[in-house]
Amino acid sequence: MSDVVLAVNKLTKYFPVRAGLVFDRTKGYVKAVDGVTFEINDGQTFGLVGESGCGKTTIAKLLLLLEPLTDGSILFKGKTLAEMNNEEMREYKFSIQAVFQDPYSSLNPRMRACDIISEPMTTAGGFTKVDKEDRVKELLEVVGLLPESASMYPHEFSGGQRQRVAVARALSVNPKIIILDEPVSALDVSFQAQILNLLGDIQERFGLTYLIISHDLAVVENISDTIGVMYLGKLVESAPAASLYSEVQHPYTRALLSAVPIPDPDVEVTQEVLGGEVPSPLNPPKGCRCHPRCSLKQVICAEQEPEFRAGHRVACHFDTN
Amino acid sequence: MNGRLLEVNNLQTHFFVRRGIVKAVDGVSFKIDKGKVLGLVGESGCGKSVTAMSILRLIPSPPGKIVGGEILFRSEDESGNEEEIDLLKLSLIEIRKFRGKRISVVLQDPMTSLNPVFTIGNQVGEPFRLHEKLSGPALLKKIIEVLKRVRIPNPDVRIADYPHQFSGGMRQRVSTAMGISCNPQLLIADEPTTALDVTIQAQLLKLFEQVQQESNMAIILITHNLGIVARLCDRVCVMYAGRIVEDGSVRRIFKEPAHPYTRALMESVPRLGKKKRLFSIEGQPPNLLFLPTGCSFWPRCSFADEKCKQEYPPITSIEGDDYVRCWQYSGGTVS
Repeated sequence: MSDVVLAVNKLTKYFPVRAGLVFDRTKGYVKAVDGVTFEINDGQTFGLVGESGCGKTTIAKLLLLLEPLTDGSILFKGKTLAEMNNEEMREYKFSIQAVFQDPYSSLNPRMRACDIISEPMTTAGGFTKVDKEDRVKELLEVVGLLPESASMYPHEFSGGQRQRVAVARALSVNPKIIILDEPVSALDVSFQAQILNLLGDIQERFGLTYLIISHDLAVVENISDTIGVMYLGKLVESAPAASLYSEVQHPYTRALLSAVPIPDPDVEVTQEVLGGEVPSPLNPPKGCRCHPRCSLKQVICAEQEPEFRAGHRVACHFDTN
Repeated sequence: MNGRLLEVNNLQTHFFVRRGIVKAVDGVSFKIDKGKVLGLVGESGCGKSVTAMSILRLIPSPPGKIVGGEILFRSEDESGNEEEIDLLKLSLIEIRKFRGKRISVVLQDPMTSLNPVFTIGNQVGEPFRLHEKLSGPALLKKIIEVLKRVRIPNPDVRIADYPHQFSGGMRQRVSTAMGISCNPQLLIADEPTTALDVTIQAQLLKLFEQVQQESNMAIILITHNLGIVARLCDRVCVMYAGRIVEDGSVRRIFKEPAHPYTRALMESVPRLGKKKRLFSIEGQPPNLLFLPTGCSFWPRCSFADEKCKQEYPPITSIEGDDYVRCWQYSGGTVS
């Protein structure tokens, strides 16, 4: 695997919890992301799934440099961010762009579509006004919007069209990697399919690398090459999308998969309903973090944390396949 | 206990706004039998929620108004006699006796549907206080009982907690407890699990199944998740731009969708274990202020011809009570 474009190694983010008015002591840490390691190959899609609060979005924020790391490293083209000089750092920042969940809040309501789409180019610098206008026109066509939409404001678009504008903005500075944080969760089914197909098309056309984050397993599976399943800040299983469903290993992944309602009335419901709720990341369970909700738990699970090794793509004490 | 519970005939709910009349629901008819689950599916703005809220007469007026149709509800009075009542003919005071007692509702977002400044015991007890005039220990006992039915652990302690002390899933259980407290004959569930995680959604779907079997109530389930429909519903009505375009049994609709829109909906959902390019419905739902002439789906339909552009298709029955509104239908799935 020579062409790894983005990798994270033991990525960790703790948010301190403070208390006290005067002394402002740190009482504990929310372990939002706790030693996550994965890599994404050039032109591939890596999907991250998990329940709310498992740290998916924190990973996106760390990669976008919106939050400082607590520990671990991010490697872009084989070089950690810490080793980069200013010039390389600048390249990284423009190589990585994002599309967020809710196009109703991610687009400034007081800017026209053309200004929204060209803003990253203004930040990057080196584009003339004519360059920008041409590029906006080109991008609108790429994402399937009419050229007239350039002068429209976000409220004039439907949800699906807004998300297209957000995609066009992400594309404007020719990034290598796009982080898609729940790109279709806020959209209706018919728009979901449109946007997923659009994302697939532009990936092929521009050779993009995606990191897609979603709680919807079916969506992630549809678009990803590799899928990582997260639970309470840790990666519990990572597998090629094609085999995750058929060769699921981790009990948590299995429960997550069986919780998705299948749109077919003839499918027997063989649900392993996952009891209880996600424990607080402030005080995660000892040992394997899944054990309080796991149906296969043994004594060892409460005591020892299973390792997640590169060779083994699952963090569980048992071979459950 | 079989037989018809609710029959909606040609319901029309319009909103009178400055720019014109929004026909949010325009001639909707459906029936639901006792103890059955009916799914209402469709995209945002197709009139699902307005239909449901019209049944409870909870349409904000102005600008909304139910301009036509009838909603026949067959209910039992105290002595066990059945009577058929047109809910639209009741006065606002009379309809209150139905809300929360014979027909109740569970809304999408338990964050906003529960009042943050009252304890959940207080809120769950409201239907008992209003409809059964209970108070004191008798009321308390009833509240604990209903919290147990929705499987909330330690109900006798949690009764004094406020909504913010509950997680999202637990809050939706509290909402459900309010909905089922007086053993309604009909429960309207408006996107009850949309705001929740899949694992919590699975827990709640199981709860709905259990509660429905225990008390044999009918449910109108509004959702856009076809997986949930397949799992819980007996019948499905597919809505588009304020009208029902197809009505049928779950099995037939999933196996042989008759309307091109139903078929497109089925094919645009990503499914686990089947990676392929999704079918996408091009374009967007029409603006309800400026509906196209003829069938409202024709601008997005690949089967449309001249006739579709001119006249709204009539009801074509398929088998039993199933019907479709499409000019192109001629048995089986359109293709």
